[in-house]
Parts: sequence; structure tokens; C-alpha cells
Amino acid sequence: VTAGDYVRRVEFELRDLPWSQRRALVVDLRHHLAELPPDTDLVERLGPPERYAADLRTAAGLERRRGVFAYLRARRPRNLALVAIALTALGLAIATLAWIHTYQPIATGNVGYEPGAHDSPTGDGIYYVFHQGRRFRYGMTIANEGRFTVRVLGIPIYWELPIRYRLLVSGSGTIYRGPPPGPFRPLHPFDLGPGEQRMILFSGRFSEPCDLRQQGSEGFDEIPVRYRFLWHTGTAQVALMDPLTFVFTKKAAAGCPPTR
Amino acid sequence: VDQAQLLKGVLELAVLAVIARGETYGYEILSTLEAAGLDGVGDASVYGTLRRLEQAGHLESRLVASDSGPARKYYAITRGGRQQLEAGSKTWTRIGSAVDGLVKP
Repeated sequence: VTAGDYVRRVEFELRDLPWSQRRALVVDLRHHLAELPPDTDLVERLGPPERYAADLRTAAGLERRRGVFAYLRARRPRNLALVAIALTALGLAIATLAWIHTYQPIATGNVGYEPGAHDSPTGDGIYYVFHQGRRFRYGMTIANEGRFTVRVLGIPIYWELPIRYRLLVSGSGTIYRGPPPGPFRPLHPFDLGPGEQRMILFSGRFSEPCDLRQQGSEGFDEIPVRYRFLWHTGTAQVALMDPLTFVFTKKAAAGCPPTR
Repeated sequence: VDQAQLLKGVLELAVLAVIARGETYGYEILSTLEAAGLDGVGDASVYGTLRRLEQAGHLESRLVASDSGPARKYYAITRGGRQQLEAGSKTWTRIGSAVDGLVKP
């Protein structure tokens, strides 16, 4: 058994002691071993490391320690600090990832553009009466109420609207007032900065209500806005300025095949 | 009677007595004890006792560089250690006399 092996085995037997105390005992043992004649058989002179550790423990009055607190105190402070730093960094990384994946700053803006719409008699929105072939325009602003820029990728609407339309987007602004802000251009992905608003405009004509397969009315109260923040892509459901309803008269549905 | 068990009770007193003669280091303390006839005491017991006495403030230590190898740890007795030694000596004398009276015919 070499001196190094002997010290390691004794230290292992004392592993429950606080690190600084164990360290001091190990230093003492190294001094002791260094004082012995070079050709000393350590096990013969000192006994097995396990017994040496037990005798040392007894003579020094060091009780065996158990429990979580003792386990932590037995660790090297530098290692504990490194583990704490690593855990903190990991926690921060997880929290940051979770925050990025839940960050959704897009909200309804402050302007709606609803030419030709009627206020609902119940006061809970607007409605358009369907007129085949007539022009249809509906716009609303969306706003970035967060602190970071997001990229708006599109408006993935899957409604079966009784209109043929193009999606347009206005120039950048903060708070719109009065007529819809122009000029409009076809909607392509764009950046929406903090505090910025843009109007999304449905522009087209009423056409073919039969896909809806019903008469009476069809209502919508939010639009999906696809966006990207850093690497995360999500869809925000943005409430319409006013819930939107299409009203179909008997005449509108007259040409539709009967529903099954 | 197991000599090691007997020695454990008086080892603290013996170690203090050796160091009271003058500043010394661990291996020399061991050699002095062995030369005095206390050869049944283990090295670990002596070093553990040194550690306990130092923790209790009865000893103080310092590292001294050595020409022949690593630094040596020298121990010196403190004022508290001398008081402890005096009290222990009186106790030992009293117990020794009492035990002598019992074991001698």
C-alpha cells in the first residue's frame, strides 16, 4: 500500500465528516506518513486504513454524521458552489425557454374598419348582410403590447367565409385614428415592434355562401395570427374589435343546393 | 487487562506531558511515548488526541519547513493546556495511589 493509497482509503472512511475537518485530518496524516522512515510497511505500522480511521475518529472525538445536512457539509465547498451555479444556470435556461415559448405580445389594436357593416341590435358586434358580388372590406389593427419585436408570419384563417378576399396590411404606426391607414400592400411576413400597430385588411367581394351550408347567420369573434419570436413559432388568437357576423337572407341562399 | 484500553484513558495526559517539555512534532511524540514504555498506543490514537487537544485550545501548532522532507507540524502547549496537565496529574496521582493500594498485596 502506497502512502497515497493509504491516505485515500482513510479519507474514504472519514467521508461523512465536514470537508474542512476531513481535509485537516488528511493533511495531518500526510505529515505523519512523511515523518515515518521511507521503507515503513504502513499497514504493519499503522494497521489497516479502516482501523486507523476508526481509531482516529475515536481519539479525536469525531462522531459519525448522517443526514442531508451532513452530506452537504462533507462536500467540498467549491464543488457545492459549482453545483449550485450549474443548477441555477439550468433553472434560468429552463425558465428562459419556457418564457420564450409562452411569449405572446400580439393583441387587438385600437381601430376597426368596417365599411358597410351594421351595428348589431343587441350591441354585441357588427353584422354584414350578404350581397352576392358586392364589395367587402373589413379591417382591424393588431398591436404588439410586449417589449420585444415579433415577426408576423400570416393570418391562417380556416373559416369558410362567404367572401373571396385578399389579405392586406397597412404601414407601421402606433395609434391610429380616423380613416384606415394606408397604403396597404399584400400581407407578407413583417416585423411588429413593441408598441407598433398595423391594420390587417380583408378586401374582396361577397361570393357563394353555400359552403357554409346554412342559412341565417355565421359569426366570428377572433382571428388567428401566426408569429415567430426568436426560434419559437406560435399562433395568437386575437379578438376582433367587434364580433363579426354575416347574415344570409333567403335570397342569398336560394341558389344553394339543399343540405343533407 | 488490555493495555491499549488502559492507555486510552491516560493518553491525553501523557501527550500533554510530552509536549510540556518543549515544542515537538507528531513522530517525536510517538517515539517519546514508546521510549517511555507506552508502546501499545496506536499512531492514530496519538494523532487523534493531538487533534482533539488542539481543538480544545490546549495545544497550538505551526508548520516548520524541513530540509529532509515536507514541512513538519510542531505542537506547543498553551496556558490552558498546562492547567489541564496540572489537573490531570493530580487526578492521576490520586487514582494511581488508590489503584496501587488495591492491586499490591
